[in-house]
Amino acid sequence: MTFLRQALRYRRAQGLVLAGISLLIGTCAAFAPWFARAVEQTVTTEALTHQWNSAAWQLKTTPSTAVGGPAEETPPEDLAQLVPADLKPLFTPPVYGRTAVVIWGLGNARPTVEGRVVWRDGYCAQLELTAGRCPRAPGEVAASSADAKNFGLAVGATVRAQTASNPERSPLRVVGIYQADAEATYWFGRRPTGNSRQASDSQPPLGDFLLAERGTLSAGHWDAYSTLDTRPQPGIARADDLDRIRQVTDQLEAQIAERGIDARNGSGLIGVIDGIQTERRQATTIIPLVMVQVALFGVVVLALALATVVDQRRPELGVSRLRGSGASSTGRALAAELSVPVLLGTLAGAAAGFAMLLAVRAAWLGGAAPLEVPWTVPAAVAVAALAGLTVVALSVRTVVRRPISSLLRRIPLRGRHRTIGLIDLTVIVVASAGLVTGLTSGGRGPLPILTPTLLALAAGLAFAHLLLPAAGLVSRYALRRGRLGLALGALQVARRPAVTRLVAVVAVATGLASFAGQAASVADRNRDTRAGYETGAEAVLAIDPANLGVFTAAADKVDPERRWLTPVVLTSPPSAESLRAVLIEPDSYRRIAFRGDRLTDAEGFRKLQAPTEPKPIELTGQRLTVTADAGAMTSYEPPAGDNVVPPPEEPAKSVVLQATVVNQRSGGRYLVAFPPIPLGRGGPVTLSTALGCLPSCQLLRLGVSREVGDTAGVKGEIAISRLATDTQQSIPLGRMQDWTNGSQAGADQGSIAARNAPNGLALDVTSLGGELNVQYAAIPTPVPALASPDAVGDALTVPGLDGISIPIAKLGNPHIPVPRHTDRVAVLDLETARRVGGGVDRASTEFELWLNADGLANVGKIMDGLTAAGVTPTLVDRRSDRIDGYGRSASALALRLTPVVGLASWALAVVVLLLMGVSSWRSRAQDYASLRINGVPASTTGGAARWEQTGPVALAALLGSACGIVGAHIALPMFPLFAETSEPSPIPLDLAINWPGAVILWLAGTVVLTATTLVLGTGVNRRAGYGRIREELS
Amino acid sequence: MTGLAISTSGLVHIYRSQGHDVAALSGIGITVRPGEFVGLLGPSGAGKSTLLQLCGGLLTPSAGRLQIGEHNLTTMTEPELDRMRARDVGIVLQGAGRNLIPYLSPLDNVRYAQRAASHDRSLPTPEDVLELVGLTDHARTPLPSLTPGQIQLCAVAVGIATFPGLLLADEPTSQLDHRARDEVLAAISTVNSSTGMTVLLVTHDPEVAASLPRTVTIRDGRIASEGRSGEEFAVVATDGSLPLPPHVAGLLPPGTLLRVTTTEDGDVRLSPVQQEGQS
Repeated sequence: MTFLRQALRYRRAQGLVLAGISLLIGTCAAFAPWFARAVEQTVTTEALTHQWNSAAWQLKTTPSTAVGGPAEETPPEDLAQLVPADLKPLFTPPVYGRTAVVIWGLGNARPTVEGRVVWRDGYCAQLELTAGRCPRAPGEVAASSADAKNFGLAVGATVRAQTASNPERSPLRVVGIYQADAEATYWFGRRPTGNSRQASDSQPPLGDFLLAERGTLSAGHWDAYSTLDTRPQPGIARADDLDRIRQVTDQLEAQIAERGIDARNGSGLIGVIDGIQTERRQATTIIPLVMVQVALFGVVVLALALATVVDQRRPELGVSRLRGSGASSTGRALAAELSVPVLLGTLAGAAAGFAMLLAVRAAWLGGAAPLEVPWTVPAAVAVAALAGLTVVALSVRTVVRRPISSLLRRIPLRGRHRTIGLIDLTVIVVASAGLVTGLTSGGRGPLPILTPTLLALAAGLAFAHLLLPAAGLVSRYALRRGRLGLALGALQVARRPAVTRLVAVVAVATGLASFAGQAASVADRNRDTRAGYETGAEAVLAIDPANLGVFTAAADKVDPERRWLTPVVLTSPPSAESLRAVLIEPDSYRRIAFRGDRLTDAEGFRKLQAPTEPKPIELTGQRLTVTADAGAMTSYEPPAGDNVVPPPEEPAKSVVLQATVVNQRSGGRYLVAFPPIPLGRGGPVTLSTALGCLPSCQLLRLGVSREVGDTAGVKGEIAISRLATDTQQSIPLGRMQDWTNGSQAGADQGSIAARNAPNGLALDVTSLGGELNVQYAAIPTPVPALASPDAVGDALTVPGLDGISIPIAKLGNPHIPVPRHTDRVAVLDLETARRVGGGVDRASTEFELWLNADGLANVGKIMDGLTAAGVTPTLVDRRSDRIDGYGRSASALALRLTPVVGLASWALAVVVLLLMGVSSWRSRAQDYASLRINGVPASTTGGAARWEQTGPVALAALLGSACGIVGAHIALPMFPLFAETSEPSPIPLDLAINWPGAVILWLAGTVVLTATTLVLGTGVNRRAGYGRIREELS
Repeated sequence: MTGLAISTSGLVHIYRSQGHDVAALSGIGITVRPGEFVGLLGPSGAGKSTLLQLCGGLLTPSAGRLQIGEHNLTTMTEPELDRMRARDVGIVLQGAGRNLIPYLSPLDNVRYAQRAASHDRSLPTPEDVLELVGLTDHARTPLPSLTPGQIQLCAVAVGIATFPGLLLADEPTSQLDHRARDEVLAAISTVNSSTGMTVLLVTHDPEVAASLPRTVTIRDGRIASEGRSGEEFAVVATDGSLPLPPHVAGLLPPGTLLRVTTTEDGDVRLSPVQQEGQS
């Protein structure tokens, strides 16, 4: 022990080197499973936090349709029995509730407002009362401020409510007006929506929640159903609990049936857990694999360091053997001595791993992961320690078993070149086999991630072995040319097989660093890109306008020049399989939306836009007047089939001229029909009808219909000589080519076409009783659209603002996935849609303002402006939030380690260079001293000393960087950058090499490593004095 | 404690290196009695150090017989050789530093050298060993603080740490000034005389050789001559061959025929025969 202590003290620097390398290995070994575990816990907590509503259990009994049905018999407390006792601590305290779907009316008015009377346990604490108080007794309710505004509810008012199955009206007295906190997780998505509206043409009035005490719903017959909401608590439900939670959730329906409860669970928890499990698998695969490369590299460097250290101990080993100690006992003593720093370093590495965990936990994981010691940590540290001790034992054994005479030699005998070549060849073959296996495994298993390392190892060693003979050739060539410095340097390379190790190590180190840089860069770029595609822009405001006019007016008021925002409207069909429409302003969309300018080319954008000619026909006024002549119309009998006798019909009586107009304020589309024009009377007639076009409308269509029951065929021309309103004397109707057949009737329903007439426009009509229209060309039909590739078929339609289908003409596919709304979507011009018009169907229409970076910077100002314009904006999405979200994914967290990998690789390569310098400087200095004594100038030996390692190292750095890039190109497509649990995302991965980054890393690596070799070479040359010759001879 | 005898016969050692065989010893036959102090002389490359290393079991003879006390080195296994070095044979290599652990004091170096033998028998205390070579005052002095002579004395102390029966010393006085040389030589003589330890010492130094009671000169891997108290003698080998002293060999070119005659008083006379064609 005394000798051990003294030996350790004497070889402090060596001990520190060994301990340092072991520390790195131990850090990797401990940190990888620790970090993987922490990431598992973090993604679990994050998912349960951010997907809290999907992760919730939302139990709901089936409401009874009969008085006194089972819903009354299933109080919400009974649903709590479905939560197993062992899971209760993991779930939030259940929120019980009862809800009745009602129709109510204020006072004694007939109930027309669809609404709900709701009780939730503890709801009062969630309300912000703007007037009155919380209900305390049965029959008391709190109404929302939206209802108060829309329906005039006030404290003290009484509403009477009835259910669908019970016409008896129950009085409910309003005792408070509330403002609900819509974001509160307390409501579990069953929150008061503020979605209150008065009746419109197409929709009945809708009321918000009337919140009441439980007793209100207990009394009377409300057909109420019970609810229970609970969810796994983020931070308490941990990764290890997920299997159990999933199992119970999966069996919940069976449990419900078994207990005879008429209820169901609306929960996406299983999907959430599956997503978490996918991320957990990524974490437990990627992180250890990323770190194990550094650890294995560290083990290799440790082996090289130990070889150097043990070689330096040969004289001591010789002395020990000289004094009668056997090879085994001598080896044991040295192994014990070297094991101390290795073990201490590994254990310190475990502590450093923990410190690193604390650091990344605070910096990357937001402190969300609990501090725990999974069994994998001590196991990994034990494996690392065992690996270190094994390397120590092998290193010592290799040397200590040499003959004493060999141990006592000042310069050790070299191994046979053939043996070294065989070992290297084996490594090359094994690395190549691993590489091929990784590439052919279809991305499964761990080997793809090791591709860059294996590639660099195989290429580095192969290159190193080519380098030796090449250096010999270069040496001879340089000697012939009289370039002594180069010749000497190349000769030194050629005669030192240790260079092969150096080249391989540098190649692997720079390969790892290069791959790490590419992986981090590509992953960052793809996270940014995907976040951009998914958000659509830097940020998105959801708007709740009453109609398109209000929406665009608000946008125009806030940003008329579209410097900050672009309006986007999404209309969705009832069927998820049908196409949705994204209505955009092409000009501003190109500038504001994420990669908006890449959606299509300039020609595509031009075709997408509403035509500038002809100009829309504006109508303003309360009445519309037309002067028309239908005197040329005659009866028409359509051709019948062979042997078919047409049924006798009364002759046609009249035709009805009609116009379809779109109100520019509300966006509403109206059909304006003139009084019938009797047939058989020649000469123009002037007709007038009501027109609600204030401030203005646009004329969409002109058409002809018939009176009810008048279906006899008629054919001929209706000449329109004048169209006017009470404010417009005459409205030009344009030329015949400005009108297209917009009739939605089939060919057997007749035809209509516009024709130029001397005094205006004529309509050539063949009417068989149906409605016929020509559409003004300012509103193209079908509407040009860019349709996503999944839209197939000839007759494509998308829902308009009013939900009615609009036929579209497919201009082609977008060049990129449509941002934000990617699947089954067609992009249309918003102005065209506005011209088509239609009252907004709020259930199927979403209004959004997409902001660019400047807009986001001014979002407060924009939102204030929008509020002042009469709409309520909500910041619903931010690209940076999505980037942050992706940054918390297992894949992203794992890839954050890659810079650490790169730096560690460089550090290890520098250690190897220093070790090589330490172990070879004496003999190299003696070589150069011999040359100097023979007249070679010091400057020449200096050049040779500097470049003999710098040259191979620079080449190896270039080779390694190239391998890293190639490896990244091969491996990254197999690398799970995102947690895909279902269909692969249509957003393509951008795996292009980051060349500037690659060049910077290559240059940085080359500078760091060659600077080291230059310094070492200079040191060697400085020591190549004549005294070195004496040392050699002595 | 008694010294060990050395007995070699037809001892051959060949170095094999990258396809080239070099015979370092070509049939050495020598006998050293227990307790004898013998110096090995000869030019560089003659085979002195090889013979020393063979005696220490550091090399294995290629042919011939080599006996150290009861140990037949030609048949011993590596563990047996280890035990022999631990108990019976002390070795002092050329270059004092090569014998020492640089970070240990003289006292600890001696202790270190005693480790392998410590379980086998009672050993002299390290202090006794150091006292024998005159290093008591520097027992705990760090090696870098010692003079070259003291370091060499320390190397000798390490060599005799277990009071072996045989001390093999390779050039222990080289690179020392006269005073240090004399001190080292005196220390070894003291060890030899006080313990009865057999000493085989390689030297180049004629003054050292002159002070030794017996010297053996090796040339070209063979025993060329022996000296007794400063006087040189040719030695008849076991195969009857007789290496001539250099100054005689210079007079007789290779191929010279000698007539060997004995005189009445027992002298042997070698007379060159004048052949035809020779002047």
